[in-house]
Amino acid sequence: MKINDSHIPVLNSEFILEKFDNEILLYSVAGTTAVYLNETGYLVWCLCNENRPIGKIIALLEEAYPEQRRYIRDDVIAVINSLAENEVIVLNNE
Amino acid sequence: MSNNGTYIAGFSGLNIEIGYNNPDAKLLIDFLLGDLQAEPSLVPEIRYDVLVVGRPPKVSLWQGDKLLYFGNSKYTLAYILINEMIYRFIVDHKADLAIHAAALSYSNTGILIPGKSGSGKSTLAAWLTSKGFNYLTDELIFLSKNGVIKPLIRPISLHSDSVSALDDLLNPVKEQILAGQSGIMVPHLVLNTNHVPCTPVVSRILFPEYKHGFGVELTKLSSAKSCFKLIECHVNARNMPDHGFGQLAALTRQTKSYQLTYGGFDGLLDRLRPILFDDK
Repeated sequence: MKINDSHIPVLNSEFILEKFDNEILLYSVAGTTAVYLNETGYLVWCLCNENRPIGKIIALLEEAYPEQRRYIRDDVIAVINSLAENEVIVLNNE
Repeated sequence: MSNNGTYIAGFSGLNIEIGYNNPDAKLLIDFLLGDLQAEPSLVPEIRYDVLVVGRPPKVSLWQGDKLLYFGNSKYTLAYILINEMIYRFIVDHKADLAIHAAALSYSNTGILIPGKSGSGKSTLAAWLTSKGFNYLTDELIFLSKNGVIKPLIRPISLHSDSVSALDDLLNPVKEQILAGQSGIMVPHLVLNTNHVPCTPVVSRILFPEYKHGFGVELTKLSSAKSCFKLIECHVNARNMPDHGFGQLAALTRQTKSYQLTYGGFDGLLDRLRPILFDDK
């Protein structure tokens, strides 16, 4: 699936969260799947919690971390792709 | 006097009865299951039979009327029997987490070595046992809520492709090894006679990765990464309310964990000593 800025990530509520300092693990009992997220992944995952389109998530992070601006889009897309592949999120159209 | 009889082996709440037809069969069972002490209050729930007949001997393994193995190889029979029993011990066990792991102890320090088949956990456990560590298991532990290791003690089982790494260790004791085409089983007592059965608390977790020709690399793992890797080795998740996720997370939060990549043993002990014996 080709991701675009208007897709809205929606969290899969089957995943249990365990927070370890700045990293998290998500675990789905139904799917017996574990997903590891580093600090960046965790941040993106948190921003997926309020029905924001991906473009808005990128814009929020670019505003918060202007010095990282040139990396943020690729990082966010990579995390979103990984979360979608592991069924942590589903992507809806705006 | 009859040569046949039954042997009862037990592990963590389940006894299994093994019938045998002669002293050769009994010797094989002693070799394989001698460390699995039956719990006297429990009635065995499952029975297997080991038969050795003929010259040259043929061996067979039965569960009731079902033939599980017939052939020339005592090693293959032993391999099938122990794996059948491990499955039985795990399948309905709900009291503890079952972790696919080797385990050792040293001065009451419990060292967990989790890994999938082929990761090098048995090879590492064998070598460390020969260096004075107390062997507990190379295959399975039950882990209680308070972090106590209950090890399934059995002979160390090595795949044939990892045997050469331990040639110096194994050649002097080869008469006591049970060998087959795909691997060998080594009685742990021939590597370290000072075995003390014990149930230590986990103090360190080492995730091994054997890479032929590699040196030694030791990397500290974050709690999250350790938990992620431990989940892959948790084999009775379906028996637990949350698949044991919370318990694994708690364990890895309070236990130092390392990734150990190794291709030989030169310098290995010097690298491990500081992380195994530093302040807990």
